[in-house]
Amino acid sequence: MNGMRETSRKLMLGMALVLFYSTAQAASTIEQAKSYASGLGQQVLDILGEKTTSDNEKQNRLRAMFQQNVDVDWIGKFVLGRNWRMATPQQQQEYLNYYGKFLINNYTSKFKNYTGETFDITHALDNGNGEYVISMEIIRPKEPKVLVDYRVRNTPGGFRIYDIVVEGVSLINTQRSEFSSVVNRKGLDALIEMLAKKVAAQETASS
Amino acid sequence: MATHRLFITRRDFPGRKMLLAATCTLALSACATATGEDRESKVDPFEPVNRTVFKFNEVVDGVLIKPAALVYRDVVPEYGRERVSNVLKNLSMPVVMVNSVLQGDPGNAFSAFWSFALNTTLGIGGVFDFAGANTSLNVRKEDFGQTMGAWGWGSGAYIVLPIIGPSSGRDAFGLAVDTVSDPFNYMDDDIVVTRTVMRAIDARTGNLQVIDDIYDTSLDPYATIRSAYLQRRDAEIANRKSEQKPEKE
Repeated sequence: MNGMRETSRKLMLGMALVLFYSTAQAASTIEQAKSYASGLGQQVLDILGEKTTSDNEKQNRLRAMFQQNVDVDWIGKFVLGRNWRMATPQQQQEYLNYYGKFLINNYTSKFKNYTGETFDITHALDNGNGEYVISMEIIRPKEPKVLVDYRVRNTPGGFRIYDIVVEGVSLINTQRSEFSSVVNRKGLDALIEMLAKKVAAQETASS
Repeated sequence: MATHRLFITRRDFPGRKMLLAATCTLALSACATATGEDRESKVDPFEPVNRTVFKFNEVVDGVLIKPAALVYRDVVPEYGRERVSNVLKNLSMPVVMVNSVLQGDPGNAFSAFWSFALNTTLGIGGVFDFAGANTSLNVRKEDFGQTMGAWGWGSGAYIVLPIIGPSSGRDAFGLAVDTVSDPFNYMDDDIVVTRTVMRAIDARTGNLQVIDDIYDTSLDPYATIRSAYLQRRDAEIANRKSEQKPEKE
């Protein structure tokens, strides 16, 4: 009797686990991607709208969100293009270290320009392989709307943003040609040095 | 692509560079559009000349255009600047209409026509965007560079035009066609000059933040602006369907 109950409990548990994992592993849907994007956008607007929070605190929270939601390392490798494979492991490590800081600072230092913009998700597109494009309009008071596409990818750790396309201009493609121009003209070490200088300047500016 | 190489080998005739850039780019325009890193090294065979013109433009912008835009922004209230933008936009409608027709887009041509008719009359010469406020007419900006793009022409070589800035073989030719086909360019010289100057200041005022951001974050503003310009034009030609996948390595 006891043994049977034990067995059926184990069975139930097993089934529950299977069920849980199958939903967790199930192909993400376009709806999940959309709600991810709108949730994230709302979180950012909430932080920006807080009246009593200090600028420093706001920036720290935005940084944490950025780090958690943007696939910084992947973007860093992508924008270095073919030069990534030609770099030594030490160059790669140094580059990614500075690039990550550079990208985060670029985005999170802009929050002081916020003047009441809101957003509206217009449509989403399933590109296959767990990749989605979430298109939104940034609605600006008294100015034309800006169309922004967020490219997100489903990873074991949840959705990650891997490109931001503003009015047809892709962050990763633009930066890739910018970096390849710098490397072609001055070399990879010069690029890393320039990144390090930018990061240092950003850090003195924000402190 | 062979044409590219031909011109690159003739790059070291300093005096002829501009002339060469201006006259030869059309020949390059028909090249297929490549993408990514490869596209941009191939699409800019005149890079040394372009970088020189770019530097010249930076100087002109720094001493003349940006200060004018800053004064304009600080002195003229937002309400006034909006009126000016409206007038300029209204005056561009005939060109937009013609290009929409040429692109086989009667919807946008229709919108441009009615927007122009309504704003010129009820909007008092375009000062007020009557059509925008009271109708659902939504006009997309179109020009002859976009028309040629819609007809299947690639951008051709990237060109930085003096003062005007980023362009391409196709778009520079398109600009010339639009200038000739614009009925308002046949008005009094004073009016034409005033309009041209106001267009530059209006555009620069709108771009203040974006350009500051580029200079703030880019390691090579020339390359950033080139890439952004080419991507933006592609998006405009595709009428902002920006949902293609990014190219993979």
